[in-house]
Amino acid sequence: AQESAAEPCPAGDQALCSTDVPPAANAYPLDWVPIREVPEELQDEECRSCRGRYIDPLAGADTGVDPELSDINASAAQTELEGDEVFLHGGVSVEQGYRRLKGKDAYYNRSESRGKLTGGITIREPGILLKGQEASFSSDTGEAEITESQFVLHQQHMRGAARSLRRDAQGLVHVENGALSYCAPGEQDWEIRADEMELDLDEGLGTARGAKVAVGGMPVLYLPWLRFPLDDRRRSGLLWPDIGSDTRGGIDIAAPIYLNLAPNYDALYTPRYIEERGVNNEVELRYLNPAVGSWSVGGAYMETDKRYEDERPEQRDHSRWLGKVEHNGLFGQRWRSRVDYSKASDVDYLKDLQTTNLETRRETSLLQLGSLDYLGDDWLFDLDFQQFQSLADDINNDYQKLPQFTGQYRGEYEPFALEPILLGQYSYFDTDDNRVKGQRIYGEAGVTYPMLWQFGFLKPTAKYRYLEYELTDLGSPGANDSPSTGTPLFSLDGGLYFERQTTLLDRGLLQTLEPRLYYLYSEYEDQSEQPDFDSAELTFTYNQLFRETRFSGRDRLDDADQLSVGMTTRYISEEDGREHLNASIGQIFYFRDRQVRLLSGAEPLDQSSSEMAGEVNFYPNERLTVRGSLVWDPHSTDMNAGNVQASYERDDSSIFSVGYSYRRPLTTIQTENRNQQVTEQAHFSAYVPLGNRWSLFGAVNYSVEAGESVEDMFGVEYDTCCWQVRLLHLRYYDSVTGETLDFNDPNLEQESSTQVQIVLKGMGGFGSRVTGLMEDMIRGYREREY
Amino acid sequence: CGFQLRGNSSATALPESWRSLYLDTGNPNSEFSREVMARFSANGITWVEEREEAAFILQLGPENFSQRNLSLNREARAAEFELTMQTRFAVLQPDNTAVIEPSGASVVKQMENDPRNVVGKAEEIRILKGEMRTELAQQILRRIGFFAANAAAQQAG
Amino acid sequence: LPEDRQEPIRITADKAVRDEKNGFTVYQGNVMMQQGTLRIDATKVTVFHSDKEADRIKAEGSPAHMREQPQADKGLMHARAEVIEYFKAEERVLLKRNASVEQDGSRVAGDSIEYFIGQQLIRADSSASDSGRVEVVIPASALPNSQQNGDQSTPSTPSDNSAEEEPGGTTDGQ
Repeated sequence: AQESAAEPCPAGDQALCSTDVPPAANAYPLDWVPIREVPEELQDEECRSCRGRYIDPLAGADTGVDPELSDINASAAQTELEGDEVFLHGGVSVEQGYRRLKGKDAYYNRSESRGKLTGGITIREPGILLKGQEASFSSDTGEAEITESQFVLHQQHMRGAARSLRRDAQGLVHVENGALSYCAPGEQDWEIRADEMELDLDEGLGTARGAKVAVGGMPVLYLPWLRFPLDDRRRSGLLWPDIGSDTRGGIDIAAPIYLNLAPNYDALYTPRYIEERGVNNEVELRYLNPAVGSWSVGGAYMETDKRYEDERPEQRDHSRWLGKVEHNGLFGQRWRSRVDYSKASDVDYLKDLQTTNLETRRETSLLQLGSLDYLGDDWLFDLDFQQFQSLADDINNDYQKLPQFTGQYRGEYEPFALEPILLGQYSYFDTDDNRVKGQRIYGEAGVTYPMLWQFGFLKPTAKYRYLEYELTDLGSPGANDSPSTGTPLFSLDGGLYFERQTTLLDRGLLQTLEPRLYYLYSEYEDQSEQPDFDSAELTFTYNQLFRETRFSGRDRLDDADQLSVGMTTRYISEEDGREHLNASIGQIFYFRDRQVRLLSGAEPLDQSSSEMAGEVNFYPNERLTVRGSLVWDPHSTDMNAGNVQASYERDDSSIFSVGYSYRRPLTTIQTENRNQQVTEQAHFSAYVPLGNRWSLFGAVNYSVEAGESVEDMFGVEYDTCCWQVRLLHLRYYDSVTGETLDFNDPNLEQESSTQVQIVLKGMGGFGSRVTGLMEDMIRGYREREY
Repeated sequence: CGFQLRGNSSATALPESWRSLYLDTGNPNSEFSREVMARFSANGITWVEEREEAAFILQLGPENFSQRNLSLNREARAAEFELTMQTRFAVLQPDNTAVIEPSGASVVKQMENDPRNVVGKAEEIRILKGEMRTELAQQILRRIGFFAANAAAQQAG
Repeated sequence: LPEDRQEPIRITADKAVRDEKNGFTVYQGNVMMQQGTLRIDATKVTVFHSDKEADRIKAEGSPAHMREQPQADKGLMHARAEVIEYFKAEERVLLKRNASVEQDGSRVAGDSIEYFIGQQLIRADSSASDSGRVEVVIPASALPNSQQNGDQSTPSTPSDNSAEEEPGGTTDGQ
C-alpha cells in the first residue's frame, strides 16, 4: 500500500495541493462528503452549489462536559505503561470526552498530562478537524501543536493547511505560514494565504497578518492586515467593493471597510469614487448598549460635486452631504424611545447619490422624528416631535408637530363590562411658509360595552369628541383664531359566525361565514373655519367600512349617519388550523350627505351608498400566494381601485411574482393641476436558478397608462461553491434636477445603471448595491449571507 | 346549505385545558402584545403571571412592519404603498416541547399615497398599523383556537 | 510491598493435591493465597516447588484475580486474567487471555499483559489475534489538573476496594 504518510504538502506556495492524506477512519478525507452520499435533509443550497459538504462525525456530541474532566480511553495494538509514562503503538486511537485523537504511535505522560502523536495524526472535536504529520498536545489545557497540518472548520465551511498549526489554552487556533479557503477540497478557485493567522471560533472572527488573496493560485491582492468572519454573526473587515456606472454619475466604485471596534459598537467607512462628481465619504457608526438602546449615526460628505456645480452654477456651495440618526430604546419595558432623523444638503441628493436604492430615491420627503412613549398598564402616553424635509421643489413643507402629546386609556376589551374610552391630545403645528399655524387640543370621552359569545359579538359605543384651536398667521384678518367643535358619536358593531365542514380539492376544510353590520351616527358641526394640519382622506378599502372616521389625523369630526354591511368567508384547514382563503366584500349605505370635508369649499358628498369594497387572500400551499382587492363604484359602474398580486416560490429558491394595480386618485388629491389621471401599473419579477450554476433574475414595473416601463432591471448570476459574480442592468425614469417628470414629455430620457458584484463566499460579503436592488425589485427575494 | 351558528362544541371553541396561558415576549407592554392579550382574554383565556402556572406558553415575536412602493404615479413618485406586518409565534408546553411549531403570521394592506400630504398619510399609516395589529392577533387566536379544539377533540375522541 | 517476601504464605482451598514426584501442588475450588499484601483468588492454583522452578505460581480462573500493594503510597494493584503466572524471584507477572491490570482507576486490558512489579512496568500486547486491541484508561481524577480545579472526587483508596471484596472468611477445607 502507499507509504502511509503522504509526501508533506508545503503549505506556502502550492497549498492544499494534495488531499490524499492517509485515509482516516471514515472514508471521506477532510470530512467532505460528495453530494450523492449526503442525506437528503442535509442537502442545502450551499451543498448543491459545492456538489458536497462537510459532515462532522462529532456533530451531535455532547459538548457540555469539559474534555479535561473526562477519562482518557486509548486503544492500540500494543502498549507499555511505566510509572507515569504510557507508550502506545500501532493504530492508536484516544478519546477524551468529545475529543478524539488518532495516529500511528503515541506517548503520554500522566503527571505532566502532555503527549505526542506521530505518523499521520488526526485530532477532532465537534466543529473542528485537525490533521497532520505529528502533534504534541496537552490533555489538561487542550493545547495542541501540529506540523504539516490540514484543518477543517465544519460550520464555517472552511478548510486550510499550514506548516504549523497551534491551538492555545483559550482555544484560539494559530496558523503559521498557512492558507485558508471556502472552496470545496480539490477546488483551487481562491484562498487566503498568510504568514500568520489567528482563528477565534468563539468570537467567530479570523485575523490574518501579511495576507495574500490568491485567485486560481495567483496572488492578486496583498493585505498587511485582514479580518474575516468565521460565521455569519459578524461582518468582516474588508468588504467586497461595489463596482458600477450609471447615468447620474458615471463610474461609481465604493469599497466599504468595516471596523469591528468592540462587541457592541462598530463602524463602516465607505470611500466612494464617482467619476462625474468626485469622492464621497460615507460613514456609519453603530452602538448598542441596554442602558441607552441601539444607536446608529451615519452620514456622507462630498467636498464639491463637480456635476452639481455645472447643473446648478447659481448655487454658492456645491458640497453634498446627508446626515442620519436612528435610535430604538426600551427601558424597563415601560419607556420606549425612538429617533429617525435624516437631513440632506439639497432636494436632489437622493436622486443623484442614492442611485441604487430605488425605494429611497423615490421618496419626496425625509422623516425627522423623535418620540418617547410610556407604556403603562392602563395608560399610553406618546410625546412626538415630527417634521419632514421636502425633497421636491414643487412640494411645500408639511406641518411640523413640535410637539404632539397624546394620552390614551388602554382598554381590556373585557366582555360584558363597561369600558371607558378616554383620549387627550395637545399638538403645536408650525411651518416655515407663511401659512396658518397654532395649537390644537383634541379630547375624546366615552364608553363601550363589548358583548361576546361563541356565535357572534355586539359592541355598542358612545362618545363625545371635542376639538379646539389657538391659531396665528391667519390669512384674512377677520378669521376666527380659536375655532372649536364638539359632537357626540354613537356606533353599534355586530356580527355572527357561521361554520360548516366542507372539502376542497379533497382536503378537509372548515368554512366560516361572518356577516357584520356596523351603524355609525355622529352629529354634523360646521368646521369650515378649522385648518387642516395633519389630516388626509382615508383610502377607501374594506376596512373603511368599519371605521369611525373617513379622515386620518384629528382636524375633522366626521358627520355620519350610515350603515355598513360586510361579509367575510374563510377556509381553514382541519389539520393545522391554517387559513387557506379569506374573502370579504361590503358596502356602506348613507342616510345623510357627508358635509364635513377637508377643503372647506368642497361640495358635500351626496351618494346614497359607497363603492363596493372587496378583498381576497388565497394561500393554497407553502409556495403560492395570491392577494387581491377591489373597489368598484356601482353608480358609475367603473373600478376605482383594483389590485392583484401573485407570487410563487419553489424549493430550488426560484421566485416568480406578478402584480397589477389600478387606481383612480380621489378628487381631493391635487397632482399639480393635472386632471385625475388613473395610475395603472403591471409588475413582473422573477429569480430563476437554471441549475447549472447560472441564474437569471429580472423585474419590470410597467406603467400601462404611460405605455412605458417605469423601471426595469435584468441580471445574471454565476454561483460556484466559494465565489459568486452578479451583473445587473437597471433602467428607470426619474425627474431631472429642478423639474417634475411628465411621461408624455417627448424628450424624456431614461436613466440607466449597470452594477457588478463579486462575492468571495465566507468573507462576509454582505448586502451591497446589487443585493439591495434585487431585494427591492424582486418581490419575496431575500439575500443569503455567505 | 349546512351552515350553523358556531356553538361551544364547535371546532374553534377553546377547550378548558387551554384556558391559562403565559405570554413569553420581548415587550409585554407594547401595543401588539397588549392587543394579543386583550383579544385572547376576550375569548376566555386567562393570562398567568408565572410561567410554571400556565397550561401553555405563547411565544410571541415582535411586530415587523415594512412598507413598499406598490405603484408609481405620473411624476415617478409612489402612488400606492403596500404595508406588511408580520410576526412569528409558537406554543409550548411548560416543559418547552412545542405544541405549535414556530410559524409566521402576516397581514398585507394597500393604501393610496399623496406626495403633497405626507403628514396626513403618515397618520393613515398609523391607523392602518392599529388595524393590522388587530388582524394579526385574530389570525394567531384563530390558529391556536382551532389547534386546541382539535387536540382536545382527539383526546376526547 | 517489597517486604512481602518475608511474610509467610497462607493458602486456603476446597481441595489440595500434592505431587511430590513432579514437584508441584495443585489447589482447587475457590482458592485464596496470601503473602503480606499480595493475594491471589482463583479456581485453581498450581505452586511449583521443584528446585529449578521453585518460585513459580500459576493461577487459573474465570478470571483469576491477583491484587498487591506495590508501594506504600500507591493504591492497590488488581490483575485479572484467565491464566496468571507469578514469578516471585523476577517479580514478574504474566497474564494471558482477557487480561487486565487496574491501579488508582487507570486500567490496561488486552490479550496478554506482562507486569514487572519492581519497575512498575506494564507491557500489553494484542498480537495474539489481529482484531484484538489493547485498551488503556486513564481516569480524569488521576490527572493532576483535575485536582487543582477543585475536583472533589477522591481517588479510590485501597480501603474501599478490599471492603467490598472481603469473602466471608477463609473457607475451611471440605
